[in-house]
Amino acid sequence: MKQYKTIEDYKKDEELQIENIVKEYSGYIYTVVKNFVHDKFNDEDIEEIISDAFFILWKNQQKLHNEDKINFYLAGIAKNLIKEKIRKQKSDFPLKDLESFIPSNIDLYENYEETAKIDIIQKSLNNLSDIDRLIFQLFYYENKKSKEIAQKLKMNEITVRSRLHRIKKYLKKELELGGYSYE
Amino acid sequence: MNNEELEQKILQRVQEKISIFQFNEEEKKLKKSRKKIINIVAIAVIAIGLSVGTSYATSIIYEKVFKKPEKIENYIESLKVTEEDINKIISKEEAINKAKQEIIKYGFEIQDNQIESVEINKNPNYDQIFYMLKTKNELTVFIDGYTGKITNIYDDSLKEIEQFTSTEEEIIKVAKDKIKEYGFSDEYRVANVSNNMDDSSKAYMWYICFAKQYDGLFNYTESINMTIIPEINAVKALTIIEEPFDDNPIILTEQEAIDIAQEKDNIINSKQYEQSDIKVDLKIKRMNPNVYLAENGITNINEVGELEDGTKYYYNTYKLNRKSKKSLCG
Repeated sequence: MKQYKTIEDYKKDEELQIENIVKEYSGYIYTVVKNFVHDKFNDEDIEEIISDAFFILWKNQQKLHNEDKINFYLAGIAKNLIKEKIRKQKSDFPLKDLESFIPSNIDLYENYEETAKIDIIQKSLNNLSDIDRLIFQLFYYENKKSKEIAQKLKMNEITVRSRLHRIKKYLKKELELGGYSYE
Repeated sequence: MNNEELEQKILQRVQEKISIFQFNEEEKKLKKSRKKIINIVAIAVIAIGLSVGTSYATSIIYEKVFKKPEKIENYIESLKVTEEDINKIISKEEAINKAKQEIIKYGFEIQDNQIESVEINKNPNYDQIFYMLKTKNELTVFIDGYTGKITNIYDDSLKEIEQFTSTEEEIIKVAKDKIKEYGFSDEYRVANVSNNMDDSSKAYMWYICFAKQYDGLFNYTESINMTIIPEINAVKALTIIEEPFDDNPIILTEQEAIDIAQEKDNIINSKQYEQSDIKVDLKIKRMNPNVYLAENGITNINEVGELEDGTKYYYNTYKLNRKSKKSLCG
C-alpha cells in the first residue's frame, strides 16, 4: 500500500512547500475528482477544482495538523468543492455520495464577498498583458523585489514599479466596478 | 493530457490564485490602516515616512504641485565665498555692530577686544550666507548675512556643569522666563522638552524648544531652541529660526493624502523593507525633494566631499526649501 506523506513532510521553515505538493498530488486529486464527477464536469471545471483544492490547503496551512496525511486533506477539500459547484449548477447529481468527512478546521471560503472579490480579480488579470501578469505573479507569489523582477525580465526597475502600480490601480478599479472596494 | 502537462497547468493556476490572495490581503491591510476622513481643511503638501537607508530623511515630503528640485551643480565650489556673495550681504562691520546690540538682550556681551575671528560661511542647500564670530571667552555667534540678525549663540565657557540638575517643571519655568526676558511674544509655546541623560534626574543639559502655533500645529521653522544648564540657569546654546511660513489653506482630505503617499511609496518602494501602515497627522513641515528625485530614479542625493585636512563628509546636492507648509505627514 502506498504510504502517503504527512503535512510535516512538506514543511520547510514552517512554510508549506506547495509546489512540491502540486507536483506530487495533481495526478492523485485528478483521479479523485474524476471518479466522482465522471463526465459531468468538463476539463476546465476539473482543473479549477483541483487548483482550488491546493490553494485552500496552502491558505489554511497554519490550521493543519502536522501528523495528518496530505491526501486526506486534499481529497476532503476537493469533495467539498465539487459539492459547492454542483449546488451552484443546481444539477441532479447525487449529493449524498459526496457527504464525506471534511476536516472541520479548514474554512473553504471565509465568506462570499471574499470569493466574489477574488473572482473579479482573477477575471481582470486575464485582461492584462502577459508581461503584466508575470510581474504581478513574481511580486505576489514569488515575493520578489522590484529590482529582482527588473533583473529577471531585463527591464528598468522604475518601469517595473510603475507597471506594478498601474496593475494594482487597475485591479482596484475593476473591483469598484464590480461593487467592491478596499475603502 | 499527460501527468506533466496537468502538473504544469495546475501549478500555474495555483500560483496565480496565491498571487491574487496576497494582493487582496495586502489591500485589506492597507484599508485597515486608513483613518476615517476627519473634518479638516486639506493641505498642499504630503509627507511620507519611509525607513530606508541613508539616502532619505525619515520624513519625506512631497509637493502635490510637481516641482523639479534645483541641483547644486558643484557643491564644493558653491561653498566658496565669492565677490558676488559679499556684495549681497551686509558688511562685516555692520554685522558685528548689529550683533553687539542684539546679543545684550540674550544676556551676553561682545567686546571689541574679545573678538577672535569673524568668517563668512555659506549653506548652499538653503541659500544661506552668515558670519561666524568667535570670541576669546569662548562664545560663537552666527549672524545672518542678509539681515544681520543673530541665528545661533554657543557658550562653551561653561565648565564642570555635570553637578547641576533640575526637574522638567522647573526648567520649563526658567525657559519661559527667558523667552519673556528676550522679548519674544507669547505666540511662542513650549513644543518640546528633552535632556542629555536617560535618567532625567541626572540631566545637566536641558533642551527646550519654543515654537509658534498655527491651528494647533507647531511650526519648527519659527522657533527658539535653548540649551539650559539647571541651577545656574545659564543658556549654553540658543538657536533662533525665523523662516517664512506659508500659512496655506488645506485643500486635500486625509484620505487623498494617504492615497497620494501610497501611490508614491508604491513607485519608490524597492521592497527592501516592510511597507508600514500609512497613518497621517497634520503637521507643519519643510518640503524636501526626495520623493520627486526617487520617482525619477535618483536615489543618491548625497556626495562625498573632502576638507583640507582630508576629513570626508557627506552633503546633499539639492537645494532645500526653507519654506514650511502645513502637511499631512505619514
